[in-house]
Amino acid sequence: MEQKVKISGTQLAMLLFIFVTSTLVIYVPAFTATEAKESAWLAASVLPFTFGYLTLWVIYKLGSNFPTQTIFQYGGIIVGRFLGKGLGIAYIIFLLVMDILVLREFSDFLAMTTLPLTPRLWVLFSIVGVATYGAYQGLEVIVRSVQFVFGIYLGGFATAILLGLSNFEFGRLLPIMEEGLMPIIRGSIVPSSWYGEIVILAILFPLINKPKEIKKNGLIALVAITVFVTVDVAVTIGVLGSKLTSSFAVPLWSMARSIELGEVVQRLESFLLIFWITGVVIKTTLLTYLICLGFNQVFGFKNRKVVLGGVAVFELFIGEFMLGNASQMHVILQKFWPPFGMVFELGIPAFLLAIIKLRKKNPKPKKSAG
Amino acid sequence: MLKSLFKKVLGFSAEKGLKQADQKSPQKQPLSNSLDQNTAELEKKFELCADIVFRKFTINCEPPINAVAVFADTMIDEKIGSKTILGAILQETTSLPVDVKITKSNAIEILKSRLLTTMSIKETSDLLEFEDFVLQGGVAIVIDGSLTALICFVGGLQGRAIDEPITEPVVRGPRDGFVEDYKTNISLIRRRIKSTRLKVELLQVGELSKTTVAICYIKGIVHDLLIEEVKTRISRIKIDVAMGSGPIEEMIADEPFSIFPLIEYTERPDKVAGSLAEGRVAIIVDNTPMTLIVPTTFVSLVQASEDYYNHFIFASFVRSIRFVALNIALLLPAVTVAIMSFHQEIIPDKLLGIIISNRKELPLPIWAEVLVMEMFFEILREAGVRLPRTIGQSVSIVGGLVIGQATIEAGFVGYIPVIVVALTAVASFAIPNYGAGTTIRILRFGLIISATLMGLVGVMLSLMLILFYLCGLRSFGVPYLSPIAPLIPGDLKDTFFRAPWWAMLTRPRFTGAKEPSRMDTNQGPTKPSKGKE
Repeated sequence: MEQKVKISGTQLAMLLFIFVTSTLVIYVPAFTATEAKESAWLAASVLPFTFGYLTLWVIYKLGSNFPTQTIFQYGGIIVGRFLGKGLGIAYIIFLLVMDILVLREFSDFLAMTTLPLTPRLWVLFSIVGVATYGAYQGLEVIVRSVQFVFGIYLGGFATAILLGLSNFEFGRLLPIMEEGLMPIIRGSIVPSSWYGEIVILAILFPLINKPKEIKKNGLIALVAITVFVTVDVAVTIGVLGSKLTSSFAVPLWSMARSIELGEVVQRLESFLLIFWITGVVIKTTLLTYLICLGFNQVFGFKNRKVVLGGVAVFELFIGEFMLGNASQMHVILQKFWPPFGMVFELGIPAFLLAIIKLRKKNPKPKKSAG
Repeated sequence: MLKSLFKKVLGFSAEKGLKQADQKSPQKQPLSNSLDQNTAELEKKFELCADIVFRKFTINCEPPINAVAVFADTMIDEKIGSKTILGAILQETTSLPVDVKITKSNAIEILKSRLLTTMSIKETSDLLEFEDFVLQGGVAIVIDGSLTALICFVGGLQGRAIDEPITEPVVRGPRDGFVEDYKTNISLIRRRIKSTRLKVELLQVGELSKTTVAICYIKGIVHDLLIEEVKTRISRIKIDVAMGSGPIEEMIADEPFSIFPLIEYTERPDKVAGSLAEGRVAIIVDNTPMTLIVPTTFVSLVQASEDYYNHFIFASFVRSIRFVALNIALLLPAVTVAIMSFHQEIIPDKLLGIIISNRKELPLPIWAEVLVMEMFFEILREAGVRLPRTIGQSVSIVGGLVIGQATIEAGFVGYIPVIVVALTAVASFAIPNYGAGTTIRILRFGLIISATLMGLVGVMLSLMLILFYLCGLRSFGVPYLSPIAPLIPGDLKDTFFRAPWWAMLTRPRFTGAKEPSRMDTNQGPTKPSKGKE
């Protein structure tokens, strides 16, 4: 693995933005509106942002202790070699699960909307193929691609959301907090677990050229994500109303469908798809790369081609055969993923940080390996 | 596995390799003292070379000295040669001052300093070098009793006159183009950069062809590492005949199988001069008007020299049009296929009505129509290029009008594929770089196929694949997509639009970082202030 590659601050912010929003933007209105109804935009912003910031803070503190190492490497130093291996494997699994879920979300979405007759395996195969190639090209290529598509991605979604404003009615966003705080908190669990995906910083940390600016750039990315998602949710609900939003699987898609400007600009949802693909491809590519890096650092696998091939086949197999149908996927995303993700995003890093803090308070005479 | 198969197909194998290259370790072969021995040796060397002439003569002095002139009579100007060399030696010896006596030992010196009137004279004592000089068009003079030979260059090689560059014509801007002779080409560059900082280094490539390769750069602006890299890559080439810049381009590129042109070629000296000023290196190859420029970025393939002569607003407008054309040339057929077969809902109702009424009775699906028409167009284009100009026109009439019209009226193909293909073709002509145009043509077919399989999703996935590929490319170490990815905001002034000349303050960061500043600031024209009179 090339370790020399350094990501610059702007690149990092762009990368995190696309990484997090590419799954959020389409689904989050539905997940939040189910619980929080009209106040979904609150559910998608305040608490998830806090969660994301906590994650960022913990990761940053952890990373500053081990500025040249990834979580795969310093995990072993903190909890010992044996547990560290386990930790590494757990994180690889976490990344794999995230990757497969993204792939499945996307391929289900395609099957639902534009490619009903195309076999899902073929769709999965195409995306995994592109992602594997990108991961094979390395991190430098991925970050550069992010820079290239960032404008297209952001501009595309922003245009769609802005055009959606033509059907926007403020009344649909009222009343605010009708049923108190609880629905909002419940509604923010799913988006929180997605905001927390910036935990990948724990792996990217040593690859960033100015480690001191990570917190700043991470925060910029988080704020941008929050603004973007809040606007996204608010506009979607303002256009569709909370009932419709929660009943659609992909509300933003349906929102884009309702856009109609004159007789020529209509049915823009396929264009939305284009922008979304860029994000999803970047996300799976980066995940594939990180998984490959994990295999290298945990098990010492040097042959990138073999690892990438194995990961691709594994993902295809699990994605196609093991996850059931689209509604089961929906349940997985709503019920299973949040607690699972949060453990890896905040739980384990916070635990590791606590160990370090405790050790620093009661330093042992010898630096034991655990 | 695939690699070894590939190697076998291409005829690679470790044991083979260029035999000639191994045998010919250039050992020195000194000239001998005696003219007869030298002549015999040379005659053996130039045996059966009908174009090499041995002209024996005697220098008028006491005692007379025998000498021989060796030259290729096809490569020299005989008039000048006979006047400045033989004429000078044979006739002017009498007009030498009395105290100057020609003897065997000082003959060379006196010939050089007092008799020969050619401008360019070289001396050699090595037979191999001697041979090279003669084959380059020099007139060699071997004198009895002397260990060195004189080589006079009188020129006279027939060459094409400097002409307008055919592949890159401009409306505004200079009309001189490179020719085949590398010396003329260097002169065209030197005319534009009259500075001692413009360096020209000569290398030789090809065991048989001995092609001269000139590396030009501006010292101080260009990175030293870049020059070193260019030199090592060129001197690594071991080939029999280096035919023009094409083989050299392929052998020094960064990627063995890149679809995108990683090295730019141009016929325009002004373009080369401009590139040199940006810190790039030009590689002039003898016998070709196409000069290579390295490193190259994707953006420079869409820049035309015209842009720098026109007013920046026009130039920026034209350049943005060119980017649109690039996208149309790449994407229009694929997007058409995708929308027509997967996303019909995007098409507005009225248009959809027209399309349906047109397509009702067509036998082929849209993707087949587009593919066939694209293929047909490519054939037409290729036929037009190869044919003499007079017949070329009839090809376009038969191909474009007759066949195109007939297929539609017979009901084989709908209007839409024809419109799409025509638009694509026109757009692809708007790309200034021919190589890049070819790349776009190849990618277009891939995109049509992926659009057939997966609609817009397929197109987008393919584009991401191309993007990953492009982001990984480098041309002599410079990322191919710079300054967009990696983003260098300061260099965007010459990409999608062109900044006014007074704002082009810095050189591109990747090539010109050594001396970034190009001009003084605040040179922009200002309005005369109204108050003062």
